[in-house]
Amino acid sequence: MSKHFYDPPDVFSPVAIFSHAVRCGRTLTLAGQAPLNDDGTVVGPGEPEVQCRRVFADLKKTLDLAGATFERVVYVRAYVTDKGVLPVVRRVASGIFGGNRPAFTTIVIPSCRGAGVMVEIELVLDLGDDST
Amino acid sequence: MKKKFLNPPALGEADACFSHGVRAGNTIWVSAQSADDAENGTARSNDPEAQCRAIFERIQAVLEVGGARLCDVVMVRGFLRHREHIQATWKVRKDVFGEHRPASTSFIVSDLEAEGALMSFEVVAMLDEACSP
Repeated sequence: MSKHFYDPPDVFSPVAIFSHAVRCGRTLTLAGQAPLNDDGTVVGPGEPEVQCRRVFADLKKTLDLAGATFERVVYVRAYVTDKGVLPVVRRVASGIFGGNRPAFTTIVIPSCRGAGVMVEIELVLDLGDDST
Repeated sequence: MKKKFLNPPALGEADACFSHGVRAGNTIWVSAQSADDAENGTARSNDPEAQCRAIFERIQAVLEVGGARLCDVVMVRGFLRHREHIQATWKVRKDVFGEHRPASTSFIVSDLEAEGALMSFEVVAMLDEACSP
């Protein structure tokens, strides 16, 4: 089973050692996405909602490149620096996943790699039988 | 096969647009569970062993709805508030999994969402003919 790697040109990559998404068979695994500008600085410092929306916008670019949609997401892991950010993640996510109801794990950590990053989200998608 | 959302009523509503678990194909993804009471979202005791047992009971309930058992689990991720609780989780996991030895990663986290929660665990399970009904 061959693997496919996806790296949208307009989503910032801090270091060229990973891909934004890898597909193997029916499973598409995305790297943790942080809200970063082209120069690596954080988008919306201190503004969790702005950060969340940017994260999902960047995730969408990766999904678009892989030919996938949020409807196929089965797992969401949200890394946040403060649990007060989680209601914002839920609110933003609710407008994105619609009728899909993925599994969800929340992880509160002391800090993210990028300075000022309050949220980072990784996804796993199941693309179904027809994708293999 | 269409994916199936796994939300056993005994666990209470999963929040917002999420599920306690999802089955897609032969893989079951279980959301991190903490030992919070479905009624009020508060962890039931301050005892790491008791919380860990309650968590794996919840995980088992989600797996069952997805047609899987604990022996189908391939990956366990644990998120602990306190490093010193890890031995208690090992004891429970030994009891729960017996000779079954899934891959495992443990994290020490700075906080957990549920009030009073000392830990949470998520699992990924894959069904195979040898183990599953």
